[in-house]
Amino acid sequence: MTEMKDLQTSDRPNWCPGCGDHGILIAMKQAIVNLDLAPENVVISTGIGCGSKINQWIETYGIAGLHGRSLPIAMGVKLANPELTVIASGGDGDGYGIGMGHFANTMRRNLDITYVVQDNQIYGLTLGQTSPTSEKGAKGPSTPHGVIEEPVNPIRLALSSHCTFVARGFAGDMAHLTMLIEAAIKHRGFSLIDVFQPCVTFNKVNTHEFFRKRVYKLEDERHDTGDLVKAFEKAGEWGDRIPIGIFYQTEKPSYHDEDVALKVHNPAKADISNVDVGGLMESFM
Amino acid sequence: MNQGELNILIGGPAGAGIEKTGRLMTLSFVRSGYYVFGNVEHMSLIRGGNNFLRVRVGEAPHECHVEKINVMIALDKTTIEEHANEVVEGGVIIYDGENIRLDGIDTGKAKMLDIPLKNLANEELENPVMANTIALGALFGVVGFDLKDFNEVVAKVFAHKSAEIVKLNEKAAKIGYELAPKGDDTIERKDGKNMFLMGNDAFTLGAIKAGCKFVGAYPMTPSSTVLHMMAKWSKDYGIVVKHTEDEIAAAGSIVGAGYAGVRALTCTSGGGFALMTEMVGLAGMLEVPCVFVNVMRPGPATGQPTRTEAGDLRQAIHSGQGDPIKIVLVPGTVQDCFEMGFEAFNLAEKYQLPVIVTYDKSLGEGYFTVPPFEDDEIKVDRGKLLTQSELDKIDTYQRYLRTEDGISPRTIPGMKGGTHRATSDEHNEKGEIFEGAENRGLMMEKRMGKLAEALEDLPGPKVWGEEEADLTLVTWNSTTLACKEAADILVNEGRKVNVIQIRTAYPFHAKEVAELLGKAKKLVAVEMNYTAQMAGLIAENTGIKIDEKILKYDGRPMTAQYIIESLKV
Repeated sequence: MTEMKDLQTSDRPNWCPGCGDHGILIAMKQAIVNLDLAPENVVISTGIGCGSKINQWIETYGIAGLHGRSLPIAMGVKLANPELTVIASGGDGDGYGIGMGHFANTMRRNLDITYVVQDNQIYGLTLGQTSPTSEKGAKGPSTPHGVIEEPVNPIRLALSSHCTFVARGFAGDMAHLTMLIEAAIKHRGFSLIDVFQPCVTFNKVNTHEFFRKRVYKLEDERHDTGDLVKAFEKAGEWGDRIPIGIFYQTEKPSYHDEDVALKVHNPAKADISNVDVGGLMESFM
Repeated sequence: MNQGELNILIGGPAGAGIEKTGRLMTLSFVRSGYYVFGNVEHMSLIRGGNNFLRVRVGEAPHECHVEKINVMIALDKTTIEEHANEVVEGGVIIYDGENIRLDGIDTGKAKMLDIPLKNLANEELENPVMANTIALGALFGVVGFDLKDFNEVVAKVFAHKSAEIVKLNEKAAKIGYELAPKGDDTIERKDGKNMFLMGNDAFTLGAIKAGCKFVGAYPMTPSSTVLHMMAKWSKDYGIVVKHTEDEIAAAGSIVGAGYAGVRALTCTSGGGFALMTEMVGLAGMLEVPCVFVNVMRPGPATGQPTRTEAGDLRQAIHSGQGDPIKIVLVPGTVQDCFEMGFEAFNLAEKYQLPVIVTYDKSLGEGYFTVPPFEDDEIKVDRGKLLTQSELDKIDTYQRYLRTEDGISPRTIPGMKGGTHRATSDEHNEKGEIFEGAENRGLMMEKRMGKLAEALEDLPGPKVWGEEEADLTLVTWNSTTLACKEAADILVNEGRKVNVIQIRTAYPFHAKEVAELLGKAKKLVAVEMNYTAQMAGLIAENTGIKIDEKILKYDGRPMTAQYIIESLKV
């Protein structure tokens, strides 16, 4: 049985006190424990940013790679060894800004990866610039006159990109977030969890208080997670009431179920000591 | 064969089936025991323009192209206009007079053989596509090459299609053959069982032999044939082949696969490699094994997509920020491509770093005739990859443990007790982000120290010809082949000439290269770029400055003639 202490690293998180990331870290560890995943069979791939440090403090395998690239690296891990549980994680700037191309393309592949985005609508680590999910008009050191463009709606983007599990969580509700991460890991295919993660230092608008007042749970309103059109409608809600929970889920074969090579074997377990290429050479004669 | 070799050019608009016709022809000669070298020159478009295929057929190997023609098949007027002056005394141009009007064209010394290819194909065979095969039959007739081998090749190539197509091709070739005037020269069958393949094929064969099981790539000429061959054999060899959304994802995916313990490759050309460079740095920092192959074309920017150059040497060495943690191999022969395609994966795992293999389009997409590669002696070496039982004996596992040779025992996901984070930030021996000054110094020395350790394992400079010479050509990449031929010609004229080929660009065999160059009486650098990049690298590492240079940067392959003429100036 995997317990919380098995996932404990020797050093401790250095996020700001009150940062939403603390809640996400606990929820992710709790989900791994609840699913009884052996730490050695979990790989967490992250990008760069405050949230991307999450794998520093979970005692599993992990790659802390480059800004925006958690998904391509996670893809390589998953396709090299489909038996592993692969989680990717990073911030909104990481995933919806610099990593946007990877995000859209990874979803349509339905790779069996759980993607947890710490969405604080700000660039924290580079000291408070606005991000792809900042609301129009939001101000920061790079946009002192206010953001001109509209924000990315990651939920709607996922719904239109063949993402087979689309959810939103709130770092301030750890029990609910743990449930979402568990469901996402169990889901065989690509799952997105966009998590509201208040940045206590730089974002004075989208605070814990802001979300606590507004969020409600889709499951409490008997939302049909099989209804794509309804999900799209719900994903447009922003203002006094903001939904969290599972917007949409559907079953489809995962990428690795259909790849011709992965049907033959698990590459990570292949015997490569003496590959016979005689037949290949013959084909050039 | 009168002169020991036969030079053929087939030219026409893109989409006219030149490559397919050329393939049937070259395979026939190879099957008959001859050495064939082929080089395709095409424009970066799908249809139209003018493409041509040059083929040298010889009793002995010739591995660079030559601008002279014994027989030409011209499928358009441009081919005759641009290449008739290369046809030697007694040479023949096969063409269809009903399609190509000769008025006003200088056909030089060529004998013109007008065959109504299109009409014959339509009337005799009721299939216009057969026009090329009729021309090919005529070519075989002109050079006195029996159709037996051609018929066998057709049966093999079209085995998966219908017997009717095989018969049609046989018939078409026979029509052409019988219309050709018979000369006094004939091409006799020889013994020998060779492969006919491109440098890219040889590299891919090496990689498959090495146990490469993951390829993440984005198509880019002239590297795409590596991706295509891997995809074609994906199922048979259990190789996961992912055509990704871009080169960044391709490179990222091989870092992920390498981390997970699978031998992983990406293939690209200079422009794609430019995008991959952040991942070269990442793999160096994380100490993750993976292999990059960059098949070079002229740059910068889009440059000349389908032409050749060797100008990415500096990009390969200095890819990524900071001090380079990588190995850069530069094969120059098709044999090198196979050997380095194999060895790159051993080196990557042994020294836990990215290995970049870079060679030019002339080698990557040039066709060569070689005996099957010897692969009995080569062995897979996974370096310090731990087994579970070895790991069980370690109390507290540390992924980046500092050791005498700088190489730390490695675990991969799935191994109990080996969990760690591979971190892009500077880290301590455990892999935790750590900013300490002393640690930074020690970790830099650990990673860079591996390179000095690796040097002995890397392919050193190679001398072609006699050790003693009055003139030494210093080169790398496929330019080696043109240099070898130039040296052979000059040696036959009584001069003492040899060639030194550099095969590893980074880390550099400074001592060995300095010793070799120090012995030389006169040095000339021969390269396919403007700035003599290898000569610069040699000067940087050995202090030896090569003043005389033969540089070519017109996008077309180096030839022995060009080298010899340049030497005379």
